[in-house]
Amino acid sequence: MRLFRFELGKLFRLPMLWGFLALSLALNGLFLMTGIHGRPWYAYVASVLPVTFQRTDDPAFIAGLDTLPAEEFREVLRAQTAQPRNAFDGMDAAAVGQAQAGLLGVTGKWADIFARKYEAYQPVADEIAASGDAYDVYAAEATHDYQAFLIGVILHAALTESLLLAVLLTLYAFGCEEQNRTDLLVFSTRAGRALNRHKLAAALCASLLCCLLLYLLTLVPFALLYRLRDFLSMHVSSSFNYILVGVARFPFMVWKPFRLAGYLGASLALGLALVAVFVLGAAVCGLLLRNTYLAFLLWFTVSVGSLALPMLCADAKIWGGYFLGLCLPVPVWLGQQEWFTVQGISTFLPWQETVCTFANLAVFAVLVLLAARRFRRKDLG
Amino acid sequence: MRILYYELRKIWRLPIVLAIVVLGILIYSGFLHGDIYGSHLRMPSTAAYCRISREWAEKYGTHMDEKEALDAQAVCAELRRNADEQIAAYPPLASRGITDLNAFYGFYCNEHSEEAQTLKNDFLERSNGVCILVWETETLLKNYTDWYAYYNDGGGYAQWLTPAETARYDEVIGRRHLNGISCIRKSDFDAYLAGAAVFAVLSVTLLLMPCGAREHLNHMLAEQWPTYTGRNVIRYQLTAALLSAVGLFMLEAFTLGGIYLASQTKIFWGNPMTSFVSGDILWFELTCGGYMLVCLSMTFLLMLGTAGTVFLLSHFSNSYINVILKSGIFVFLYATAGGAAMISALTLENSLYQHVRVIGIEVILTSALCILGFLAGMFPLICRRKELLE
Repeated sequence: MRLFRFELGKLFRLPMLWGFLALSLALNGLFLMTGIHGRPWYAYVASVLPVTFQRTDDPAFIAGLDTLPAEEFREVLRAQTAQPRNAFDGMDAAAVGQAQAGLLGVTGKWADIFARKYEAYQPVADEIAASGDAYDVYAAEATHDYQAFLIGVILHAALTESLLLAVLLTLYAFGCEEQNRTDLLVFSTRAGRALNRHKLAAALCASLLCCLLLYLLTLVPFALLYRLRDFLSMHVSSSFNYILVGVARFPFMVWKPFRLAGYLGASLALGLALVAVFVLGAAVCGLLLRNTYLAFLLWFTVSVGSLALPMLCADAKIWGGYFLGLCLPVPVWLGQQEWFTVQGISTFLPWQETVCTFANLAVFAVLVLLAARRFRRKDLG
Repeated sequence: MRILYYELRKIWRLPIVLAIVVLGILIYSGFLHGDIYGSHLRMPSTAAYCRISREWAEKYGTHMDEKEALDAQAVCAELRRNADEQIAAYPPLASRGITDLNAFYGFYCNEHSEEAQTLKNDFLERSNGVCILVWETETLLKNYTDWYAYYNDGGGYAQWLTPAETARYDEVIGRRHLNGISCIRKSDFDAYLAGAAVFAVLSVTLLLMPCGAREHLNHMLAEQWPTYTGRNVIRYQLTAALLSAVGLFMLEAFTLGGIYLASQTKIFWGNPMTSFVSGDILWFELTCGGYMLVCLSMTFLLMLGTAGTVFLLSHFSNSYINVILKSGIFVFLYATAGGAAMISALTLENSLYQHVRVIGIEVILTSALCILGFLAGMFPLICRRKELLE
């Protein structure tokens, strides 16, 4: 525990850690400002909810609108909600799957696996259709913009910074002995050789704490600026929400009926799990290469490679490679805006991002164990 | 000179160069290749569009005048007759009542069943894509007249345009500059150039990030500062960093530029960028080659700016992680600026231009970033001259 405390102290005493956090928060502040043009509309929709409630198919919705003062926004909202729509009612998931498979051009057994994902979705679509969740007004026609801004820009920026910080903190933890020339002293002792465990625990702990801090300091200003609290009870499968596959729009097909609060919570939790995956990935690089910069280059090259792999495989019609590429941590991170949905042509399995994150966690844990074993037996020099 | 050579050798370390080469291959094959070969040559309609433009460039040169347009229309009419005959002579289509190109077009756009797709593909293969060739030729010939009408109305934004923008549109219409022939698909070309600019910024960052931190880690300052020559080493280090950026730019420009020109676009090097084929009006009369050189110059300026900034940050970092943490946000800003400057550069559609409405803002921004980066690079030279050892 004492060694863990020392290692953690080393990380938190890194001045640039705080500098990076401050710069990241400043950047997130800039990102927050990019959505400011939509703020009056979000504020208006949020302000009418106590009168209209959230279901557009409820007669009370239009009646509530009528009691509000006449203004342009009220008429726009009335026009957008005049014909309540349930995008999941009568949805043929298999047909949606066929359309998306056509866009991707997938064939053979991978086409069957892709089709099975949509077969598995049919009961969920029926459940959402029956529940009427799709009638939620959310932010009306601006729903997709709001959701994309919250998850795809703000939360994605915070997670990206957390992941980068996680990698760098881990590499620093594993490389600082070499940098300070204490490696010969430390690794010639039994306790020193066992230090990697404490380094990994400290890096994991520091990374998760930094991630939580970034989440908190980014989401609180968002919540204050964009009335997040008023939208938390909305279902993300509102008919106004959609996912884009190429230029085609499809309903926001989540694997479980989520309210925004639940969806946000699940995204935050999966983000934390992804931070752990990145820590383990960086630990493997740090254990294999003692030079911190070379370890960073290795991690960076592999990350870019894992982004390029699905593109290359799709181009060459190697669907197994395409699927494998999409399961790697970096493509999972990239698809954050559509986590927990069918994700169009980017997934082959139900809940793929969740399954892949935990599978990656297991795989990288094994790789860390192997790298640590190799390190324990390596001669100094 | 000897010191400069050794400083250059310290920067161009084999593992780092190898990593940059591997990254270049990955980024090209994963992201940039599609901008040339994915849509440019492989999709039947785009391939036809490029083929027609190339044929016109070979036949009519840089511009297509009214007489040549009439000639092109006659060739197109002949092609249409040929397509009609082939359709009428193909029994599976004739049995569905499809006997000419217009009927086939309706069938092509509205029938999506598996059987219809097979029939469409069979016929297109059998007729060597003549139908697509006719559609694309007719679209381009329609553009030949339509773009003038479009820009005569200010592109639909007449009341929104500044006097300078209106004057440019009037000049293009008056002098019939849109008669130029080019097949550089601006959206693909821009994506390619923007991707190349981002990779350029990234590669120079990866190359130079360790340069100053490595000196600290090896306690070189204590070795160098007590001597007159040692104090001046930083000048050689900055020169080596900037020369490395220049070298890297040359390598990347020749490689990525060469790959682009090898994709059957070399013929358009001297043709105007403002063309009825793409419909984009540039603020200046530039050839495709000139436009490519302007974009490459902006990439070069960004690389120099990045080199200066990273040099400064590296020389004030005592570990590799510190310099990566410091550089991350700045490099992100440089790369974002590069991407924003390249997409629809020198046109009304450029996002930077739309914010400030200053013609040439892309070049101004990249030049400013270059100067800022260069000044940042000079900073260690000034402040380190009299600094004492700890």
